[in-house]
Amino acid sequence: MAELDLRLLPVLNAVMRSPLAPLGTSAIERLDAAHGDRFRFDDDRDPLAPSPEEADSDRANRQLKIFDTVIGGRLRLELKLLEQSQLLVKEIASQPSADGFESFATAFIMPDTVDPELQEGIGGENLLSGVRREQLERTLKAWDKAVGIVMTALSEPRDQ
Amino acid sequence: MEIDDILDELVDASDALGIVAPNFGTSKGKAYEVWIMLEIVVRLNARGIEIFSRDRDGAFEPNFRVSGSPTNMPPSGGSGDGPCHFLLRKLGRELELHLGLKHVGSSAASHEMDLSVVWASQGKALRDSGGGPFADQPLIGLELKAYSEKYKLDHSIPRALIGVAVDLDPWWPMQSLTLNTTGGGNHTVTRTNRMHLAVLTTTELYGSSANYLTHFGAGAHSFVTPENNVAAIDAIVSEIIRCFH
Repeated sequence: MAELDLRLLPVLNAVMRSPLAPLGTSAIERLDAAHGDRFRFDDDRDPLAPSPEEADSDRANRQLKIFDTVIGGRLRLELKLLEQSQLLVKEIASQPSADGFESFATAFIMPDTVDPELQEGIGGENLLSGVRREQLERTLKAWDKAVGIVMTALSEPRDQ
Repeated sequence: MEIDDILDELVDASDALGIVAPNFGTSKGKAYEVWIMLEIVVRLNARGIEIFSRDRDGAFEPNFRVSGSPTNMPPSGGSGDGPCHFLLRKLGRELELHLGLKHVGSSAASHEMDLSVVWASQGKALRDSGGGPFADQPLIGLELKAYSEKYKLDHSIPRALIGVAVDLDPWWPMQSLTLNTTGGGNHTVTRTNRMHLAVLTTTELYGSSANYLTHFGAGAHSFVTPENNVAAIDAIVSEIIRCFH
């Protein structure tokens, strides 16, 4: 089981009490898997060899990178997909068509779905709306700021 | 700015995101599927295929709806809800492009294809008979996986795709059959109408996964994002165009 550096805890707490919580869970799983990898033994690694040592600051930075890959990476990909899809919809709408494509809207709506475990409906959403884009940008900006401030804290000497 | 303020802003921003995007974090790559679908449609159109946005009744639908989870072909009647599809037309032939459609194989188990292309006549016939999982063989079936680019795609995804292929078409892995006569003559029959399957992912496929897929004639496309390897989408577009001939 991976031991989380305590300096990362405030960021994780913030994620877990927000709608980003599923990504926080994925990040913890990924962190744990990466930890297990370090102690894996195979043809190239002697099972009786001493466990690899890692300085506290190295471990914290590595863990922060994993968080950013999973959470920040997902936000960045989602934003890129949204931007590109918005351009493609505009292109479709600009095509002359006897079918009325000139009125093709930018609304791709995901109808209500049902969570198979909770059997509860999840609200539909417009995948390509401008407001979705704005909120993704805002969340990504806040995430980058949070990562930046933790990174700065990690570069400073720890209180004894 | 204190860290508490920054974290409060993160929570506030993600709360607001949760209101306009309630499925964010749990939707398992729906935005990726939509982007791939739009890329395919636009590229088909550029190569002379007519494209039409259609609802379950075959009527024009300006607000294209996609389902958040695997879904049966909806029954006709009841416009205004249910997932939409793109109708593709060339030389009087028509295909349909669906996202998240359920298919049923010879085992009677149902399988989701992230993106399917089927004959329009078969899609319409299924809707007119009350809908349900698609029981005919699709022409194209794609697995679309948006994973973090740092980690390779789990080998179970290609394995599952080949398993689905065999359930939908037990002869699918066989490309040709040679019959030998006792006198030493032989005759080879080669398939020309085999469904095309492929995995497209934002991340990298293991080498063994790519070999496994290509061994069976399926496409294996790594790093397919708006910034990388869009050639993979052109390859799929070419396969769709081939279906019209």
